[in-house]
Amino acid sequence: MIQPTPGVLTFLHWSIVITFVYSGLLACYAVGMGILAVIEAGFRRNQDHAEDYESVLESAHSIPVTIIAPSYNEELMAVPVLKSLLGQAYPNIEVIAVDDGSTDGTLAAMIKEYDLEPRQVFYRNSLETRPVRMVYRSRKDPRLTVVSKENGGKADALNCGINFAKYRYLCCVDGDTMFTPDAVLKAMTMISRDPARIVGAASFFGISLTPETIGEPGYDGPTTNDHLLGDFQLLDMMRAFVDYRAAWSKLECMMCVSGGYGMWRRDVVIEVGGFSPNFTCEDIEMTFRVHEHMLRTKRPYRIISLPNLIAQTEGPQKIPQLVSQRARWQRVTMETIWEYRRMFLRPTYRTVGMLGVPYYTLFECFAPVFQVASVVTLALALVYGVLGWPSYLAFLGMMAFGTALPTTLAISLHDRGYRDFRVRDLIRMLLLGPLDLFLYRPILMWAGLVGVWEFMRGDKRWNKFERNARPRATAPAGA
Amino acid sequence: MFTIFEAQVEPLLAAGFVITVSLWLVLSVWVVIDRLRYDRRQRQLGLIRRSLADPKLIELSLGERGALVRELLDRVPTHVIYRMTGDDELAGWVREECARMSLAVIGLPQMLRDATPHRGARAKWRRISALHVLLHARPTAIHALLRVALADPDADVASAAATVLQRIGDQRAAQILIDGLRISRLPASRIAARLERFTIPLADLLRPLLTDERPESRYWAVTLLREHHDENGLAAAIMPLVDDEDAPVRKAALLTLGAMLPLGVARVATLRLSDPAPFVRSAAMRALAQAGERSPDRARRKAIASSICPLLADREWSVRATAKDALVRLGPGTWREVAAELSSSDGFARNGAAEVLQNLGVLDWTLRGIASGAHPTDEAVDVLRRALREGGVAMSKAAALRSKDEPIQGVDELLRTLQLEGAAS
Repeated sequence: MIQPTPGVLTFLHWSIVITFVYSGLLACYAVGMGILAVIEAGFRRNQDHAEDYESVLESAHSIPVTIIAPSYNEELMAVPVLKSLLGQAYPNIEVIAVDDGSTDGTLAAMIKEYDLEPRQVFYRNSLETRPVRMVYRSRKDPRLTVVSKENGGKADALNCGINFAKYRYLCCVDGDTMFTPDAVLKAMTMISRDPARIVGAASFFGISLTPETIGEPGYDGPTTNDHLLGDFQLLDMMRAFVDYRAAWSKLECMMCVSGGYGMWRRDVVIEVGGFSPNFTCEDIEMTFRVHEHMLRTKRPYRIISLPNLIAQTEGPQKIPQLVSQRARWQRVTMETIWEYRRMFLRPTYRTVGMLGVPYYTLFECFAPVFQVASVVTLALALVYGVLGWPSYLAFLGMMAFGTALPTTLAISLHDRGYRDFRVRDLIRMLLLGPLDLFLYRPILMWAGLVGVWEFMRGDKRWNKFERNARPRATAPAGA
Repeated sequence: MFTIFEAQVEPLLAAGFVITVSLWLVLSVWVVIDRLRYDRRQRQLGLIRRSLADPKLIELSLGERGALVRELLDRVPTHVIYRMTGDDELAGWVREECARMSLAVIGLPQMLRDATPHRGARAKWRRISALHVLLHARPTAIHALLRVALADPDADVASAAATVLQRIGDQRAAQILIDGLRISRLPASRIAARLERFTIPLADLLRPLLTDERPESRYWAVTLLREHHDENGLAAAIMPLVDDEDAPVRKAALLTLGAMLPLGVARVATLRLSDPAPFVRSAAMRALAQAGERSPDRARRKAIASSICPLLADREWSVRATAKDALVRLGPGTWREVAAELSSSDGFARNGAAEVLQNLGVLDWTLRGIASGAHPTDEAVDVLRRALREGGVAMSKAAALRSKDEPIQGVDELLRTLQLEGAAS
C-alpha cells in the first residue's frame, strides 16, 4: 500500500463519490426502465396474443409496404436475405434491393438467382443520390427490383431505394439481416391500428454469427451462438430492445429505429430530407431528426418499438471487429447528440428533450469516459488503501450482478412473451449475465473510447467488418 | 470524509452485493422454473392434441369424447384456460375446448359481467377473453356486448370485438361491423378486413351505405362490394358514385366497377382521366387497363391506349407510373399509340413512352429483326431509333445487356449507330 498525500486523498474521495453517484443514477435509470419494460412487455404480450394476424394477412386492405435492402459487398448474404424478404407472409410488398457499388459478386449473385433483366426505368428523383448504373426487374418474382448504383454509403443507398418505392410505408433493412416470415406482418399489424400517427417502428432483432440459418430447412427458433462474443452481443441487443427501447417507446421517446430493421412512413422521411449521408450511420440520426421535426411543427406522431424477435443480423466474431463496430456506434451517437443539442432539456421537445436526449448525453456519450474514470479511481483507491480489498470486491460483485439484472429481466420478459429459446440456451444466457462486466463491458468501454477519439477527429468511416468464417455448406447457391 | 466513507459506505457495499446476488439468483431461477412449467404445459397440450387426433376417439360417443377432453384440460390451470380462449396462436379446437371449460368453471353470469365495459388493464384483458369465450357459448346478449365493445375507445377491445364478430359470421354480426365502420375508433380498414372474410353475402347490408351522408361510409361500402357480382342493379347503384364529391369515393367506385363490369366501365373511366385528384386518375387508368385486358377487340384496346397515353405527361409522378403500367398491361398491340408519344412536346411523355415500348418488348423485337436481317418496317426502326434517343444511354445499355441472353451479332455497334441517328434526327 502506498501512502497518499492529502491532495491525492481528497481527489480520490471525490472521485469515488462521483463514481457512486454515477452508478447510483445508472441503477435508478435501470430500475425505472425495468419497471416500465415489465408493464410494456405485459401489455404487448397480451396484445400480441389477442391480435388477429390472419385477417391482416388475408386482407386486400392491408397497408402495402416497400422493403428497401441496401447491400455493399454482401456476396454471401445478398441472396439469402432477399429470399427471406420475398418470403414475407404479408399480402402486399415490393422489395427494392440496392447494390451500392459492390466490388465483389453481390450483383452477379442476385442476377443469377432471380433471373434479373436490365431495364431503363425513369424514376422520381425525390432525394439526391449518387448515379444509378442500372435497374433490374426479376423475371422470377415481379415484386423484386434491383438497383445498381455508384457507391455512396448506406444512407445514399436507402435514399435511392426510396426514389423507386411505390408504397407509403418503407421497411429499411440491412443487407446482412435475415428475417422471420412474420417480420413485416407483426409491425404492420401494429401500425395499421393507428397509421395516421405511427411514423416509425422498430423491432427486436438478434445477433447471430451465421444469421442465414434462419432461412434453412429445419430452423427451429433462435439459439445462442456457442460463442462468447456472439452471445454477449445477443444479450446486449435483448437488453436494449426488450428493456430499454420498450420503456422508451412507452414514454414516447424511442430514440433509435435501428438500421437492421426500421419501418418508416415515406412521406415523413421525404419531408425531413431523407437519410443523411453526413453522419457515420443513418439510423439514430433519422430518428432524432423525425422527433425534432414533428415536435417542432407540433404534429401528432409516434415512433414505437416492438418486442418481437423478427430477425437475426450478423455480429462480429472477433474483438477488433467488435471494437470497430461499436466505436462507430459511439461516434454516431456523439455526432447526433451534438447535432441535436438544441433539444437538450427543452420542454418544447417533451419527453424527447427532457428524458431521451439527456439520457443519451449522460449515459451514452459520456459513458466511456465515466467508466474509465471509475475503473482508474477504484484501482487507485485500492493502491492507496482508501478502499479495502473486501469493499473493493463487494463493489465489483455488486456491479457485476447489478448489471446482470437488466439482462436477466430482458431474458425473462422475452421468454414469457415468445418462448422461442431452448431451456439450455436460457440457462447459458442467464449465467453469462454476471460475466458481462468482466468479459464484455471492457471491450465496449475500449470501443467507446475509440469512438470518442474518432468523433473528436471528425472520422466518418463506416468500418464494415469482415464476414465471419462459415462452413462451406452454408454458402448460398450462386454466391 | 474517509471516516464517513469507511463507516457508512463500506457496509452498504457488502449489503448491496448480497442484495444484488440474491435478486439475480431469484430472478434467474424463476425464469428457468417458469419456462419448465410452460414446457410441461405445452407437453400436456401436445398430449391433448394427439389424444384428440386419435382415430379411436371418433368411435367414442359424444359424451365420452367430451369427458375425455375435459379430463385432459383438467390438468391445465383455470386462469390459463381462460386466457387461452382468446389466443389466436392456438388451433380453433383448442380455443373451443378452453371456452367450454372456462364457462363450466367460471359460469355464464360471471363471464357476461367480465364482457361488459372495463376499468383498468387487468379487466380489459379479462373482457377480451370473456368475449372470446362467449363466442362459443353464444348467449343472446353477445351481439349487444360486441356492439358496445366495438365502439370502445380502447383499440385492443375494439379489435377483439371485430374478430369475434367475424367468427360469429351471421347477418347481425355483419351489420354491427358495418355500423362500426362509422362509429368504431378502430381504423375502418381493420374492420373491412374482417368483413371481407364473411361467407354470407353482404351486398344488401352495404347497399344503404352507398347513399350515406358520410364519405367514409360510402367509400367502404363501395370498396367492400368489389368482390360482388352485379346483381339486382348493384352496378347501377354504384355508377353515380363515380361523380361523387369525395375523391376517395370516386376512386373506389371506379375500381369496384372495373372489377364488376370490366367492359362496361370504359366510358365513365375515360371521363375520370381528367379528374382533379391524381389517385382518381390512376384508378381510372387501372379500370381502363382491366377493361382492355379482358376485351378481345383490338380496336377497343387501341382506343383505351390512346386515352391513357396523354397521362404519361401528367404532373404527378404516381399518375405517370400508373399510366406506364396500364399501357404495358394493354399489350404490344398498342405500340403505335404509345410510339406517338415519342413526338410529344413533354419530356416525361417521351421518356415514359420509351420505357413502355421497352417493357412491351417492342425494342428488343425490332433490334433482333435488324440484326437477323429480317428487315423490320421503316416505321419500327424509326420508333426504335427515337425510343433509344429518349431513353438515353441507360436504355441502350439495358438493351445490350438483355440481348446477351440470346446473343445478337454486333448489337453494341448497332445500338450506338441507332442512338446516334436518333440524336441526329
